[in-house]
Amino acid sequence: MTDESAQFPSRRTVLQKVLISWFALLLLPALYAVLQYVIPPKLRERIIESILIARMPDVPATGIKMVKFNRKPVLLSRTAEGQIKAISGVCTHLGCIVEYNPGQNNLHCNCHGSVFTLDGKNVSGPAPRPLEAFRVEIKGEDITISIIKG
Amino acid sequence: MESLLGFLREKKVPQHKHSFWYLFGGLALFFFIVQVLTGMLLLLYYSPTPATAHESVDFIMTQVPFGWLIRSVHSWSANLMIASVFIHLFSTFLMKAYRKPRELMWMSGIVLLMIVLGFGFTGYLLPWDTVSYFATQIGTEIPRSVPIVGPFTVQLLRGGEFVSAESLTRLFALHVAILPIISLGLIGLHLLLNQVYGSSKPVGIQLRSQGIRFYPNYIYRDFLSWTGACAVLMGLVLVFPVALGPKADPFASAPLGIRPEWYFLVLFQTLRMMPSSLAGMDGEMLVNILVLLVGVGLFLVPFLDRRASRDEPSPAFTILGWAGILYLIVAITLAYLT
Amino acid sequence: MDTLKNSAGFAAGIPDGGTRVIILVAVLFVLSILGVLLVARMREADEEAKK
Ligand code: FES
Repeated sequence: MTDESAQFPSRRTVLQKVLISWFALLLLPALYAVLQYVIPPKLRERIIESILIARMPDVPATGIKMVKFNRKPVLLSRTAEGQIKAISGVCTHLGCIVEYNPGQNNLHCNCHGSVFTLDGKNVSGPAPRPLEAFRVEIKGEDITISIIKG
Repeated sequence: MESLLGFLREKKVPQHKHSFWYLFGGLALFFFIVQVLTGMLLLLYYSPTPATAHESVDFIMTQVPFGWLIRSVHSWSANLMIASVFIHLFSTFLMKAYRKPRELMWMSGIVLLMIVLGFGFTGYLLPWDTVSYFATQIGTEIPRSVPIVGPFTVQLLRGGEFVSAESLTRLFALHVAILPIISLGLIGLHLLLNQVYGSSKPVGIQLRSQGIRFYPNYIYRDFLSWTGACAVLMGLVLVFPVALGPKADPFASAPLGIRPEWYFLVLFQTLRMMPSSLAGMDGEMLVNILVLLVGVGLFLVPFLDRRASRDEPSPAFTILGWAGILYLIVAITLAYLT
Repeated sequence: MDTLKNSAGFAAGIPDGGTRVIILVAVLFVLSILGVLLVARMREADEEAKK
């Protein structure tokens, strides 16, 4: 056993070091490709800032109209004065989608029981903030909503 | 690590004029590793239902960065793995490396051959495009003519009467879970036996020396062949990238000139050449019997070849081996020409 | 079969032939250096074994 290890010293030769480093270097581009591949392409999707989303007749006088905006639901409703409101349907607690409750004309989150008014104010339950609101612009019959920055 | 290297030092690889062929077992292993790695990556996005399979592969191809590359590597490496396995099979056969004491190594190799073909067959349907759909339809139909168990085997393979959503999940499970776990065990056994017994030296060959150590000498020859394999693989991937055919439509008629992958062409051509009935027997049935005989025969070769087990030359088996290679080449060429 | 041409639709997602040839040349270049290093190291190991 002793002469065995003398015969094969465990130190690396220069050539071996060069070989290993070159191989490691060669792995880098492969690693880059794998990394790029693994990152979900959905993350790279451009977020739409503003879009023509519905027409006036679509929004009922009472209740809500659900539309999709950046893959998430947006709820359109009319206030008592007939103004159009657009709020996100994503609960500010842990991200469930809220449900319209016709009986009380408000929004319920079935996950942990948060309640919101139709313009997004959090009235009870664990939700810490009002639902995210969007800017609404109306041109003739067309309703355009956009993200409010800041 | 040190003890593993010490273990590998023990093994000697004989050096003679046919030593080149020893490389192909290692090459099959290399392609298997590539398959495992790229397969895991493809699994991140693939979704095995008729409604989403084709779409998810299309997503990999068009939306995921380097998706086309990963998929092409997986597809080409599969072909090269099967080619290496075939070369490994025939070189081992012709060198009579199956003889005592390596019977178990040979038999585990034959099972691994079946598994590798199973990988090819089950993976083929997964993109759910027209060609793969009908190829699977045909392939799973073949066992039907076997008496008693035939129809049941067809249903077992398809998970129902037709190629459907159930077939897709079934073949998917085989492809990514069942076959991999079996092959891992068998490859482990195959390699362990190789470590214990070393590589066989052909009958009647004079050795120049008592062979070289696997580590640190032979392993560089393996690595060198892997580097070459990598170059060939990337060449194929980049010159002939794998495209995705149109989505399968189970109600459409089968496309013209449909052919299976090259490694099933032997079976395909034999089926075509077989008369519909011979000596009162159904042609398809005859092919089934033939396949079974070849399979069992291959498996039992170490015990059938008595002369080789006494370290004597066995020309009958050499001729058999060459005849097999010849039939393979002729059948594949015929299948492409007609 | 799609060779170095890229037929739109069918081969969607695959970069065009020129790009692929460039990648191929780069890959072959780094692999050949790896091969040369491997041969050199193999010779060295064989020499050591002879001693
Ligand atoms: S997520 Fe809505 S209440 Fe918890």
